[in-house]
Amino acid sequence: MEQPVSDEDLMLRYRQGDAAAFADLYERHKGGLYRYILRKCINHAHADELFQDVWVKLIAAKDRYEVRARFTTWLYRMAHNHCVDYYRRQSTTIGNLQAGAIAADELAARQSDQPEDGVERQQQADRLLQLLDGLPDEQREAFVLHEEAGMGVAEIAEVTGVNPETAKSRLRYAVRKLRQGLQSDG
Amino acid sequence: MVDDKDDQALNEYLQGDSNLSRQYHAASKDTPPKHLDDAILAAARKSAGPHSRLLPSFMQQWGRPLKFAAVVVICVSLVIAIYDDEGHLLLTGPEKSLPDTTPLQPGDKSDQTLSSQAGEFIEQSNKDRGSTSEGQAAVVPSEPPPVDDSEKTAGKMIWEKKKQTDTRDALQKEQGVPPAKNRIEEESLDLMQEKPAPVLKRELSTPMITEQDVPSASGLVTGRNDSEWLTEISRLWQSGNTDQAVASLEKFLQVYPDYPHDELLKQLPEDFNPAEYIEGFDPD
Repeated sequence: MEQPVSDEDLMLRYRQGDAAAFADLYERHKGGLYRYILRKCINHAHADELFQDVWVKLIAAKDRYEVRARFTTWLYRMAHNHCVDYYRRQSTTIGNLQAGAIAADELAARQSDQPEDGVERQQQADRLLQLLDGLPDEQREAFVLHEEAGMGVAEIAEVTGVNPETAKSRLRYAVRKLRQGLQSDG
Repeated sequence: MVDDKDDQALNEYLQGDSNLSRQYHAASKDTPPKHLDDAILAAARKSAGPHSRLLPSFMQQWGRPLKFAAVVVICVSLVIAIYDDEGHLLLTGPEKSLPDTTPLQPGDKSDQTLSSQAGEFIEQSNKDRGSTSEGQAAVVPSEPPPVDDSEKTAGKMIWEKKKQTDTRDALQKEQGVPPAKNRIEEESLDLMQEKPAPVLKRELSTPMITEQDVPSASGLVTGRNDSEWLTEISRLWQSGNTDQAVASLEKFLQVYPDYPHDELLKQLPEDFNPAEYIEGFDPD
């Protein structure tokens, strides 16, 4: 059975001019990265802009790319730094955007699209997203990095620029709060 | 205590497939809009270059087969080039080193010298080429030369060599210099001093045996033809040296195995019946 080409190999191929390799890479990571950025800024319009910026930065940086770590770590670190810079320039904290960022009507629209038997499940999912949005930014980021990029504590620490203990603590608090929130609702 | 419980819960969560993860992935299915996909992919293609989509995929698909084919072509070309070079070397070796085609008897001392020199030369040639293939070294010299211009060239060179030798012999006769005892011995000496081209000699010289190279019962017999030899046998017989006559006749029959026996009987004394002494001799 043929092994799938690694992200790092695809990136190296793209660096050598293989645009098809980039398409594969993009297909693998576009969803996770988009949701990561969306959870960081909440606002879809900002998320679109930041998402595009990150990929453009990656394209621009392709000639300097070297395999020093997992491609995923490199990509998400680039995204993390770009989001931090973006909101620093906007003089807006990420936390300020959280409040009311997910519109109540958006959640209501999601619920109305579901069949009746799936409504309860969708309500639970929406509750989870609300709980996630209510988490401190760092804890939410740690949780999303694990869920979307499959990262462990060490990689989360590397992306967010903190030591592993801090990253572990953030993730632990995030998981505990989310579970507690879901249980109290149940 | 609480931390231990949290750590355990965290470890279970990090192992994956937790209820929390399933709920998250069920809830979070946002994807980038299509126009963003198109814009980003277009930017990537543009950055990769105008032929980026075709060339890499072509090279990915055909790169390895093409590399393999190139290696095979180069190897075959090298083998052909080496073979051609060797053929050229063997068939157009230095004229001086070409030995005479005077027939040799197997086991002759000078023939052995030539053969060993030939072997050394082939080995040296192979070493010089860096050849490690014993098969090639063994095959090339033993193959008969192809009937082509090279053979004609070689034949011409041999003829010219013979002409030179005859001329030299005539000059030596005129000057009173005694001719060489044995032409093969002379050529052997030449070959020992010069780089030989022995393979051609082995290929072109027919392993004929002449009575000149066969020792007679009374020692080396040189300069005789068949009738002279038979006369000598007759003389030995008539002088009472019957054993020597029979031995000489046996040698004669080895040298001339196809000599008609009825003709032979005519030239021998009537009381000498070779069938009595030599096995397989049929007077009819």
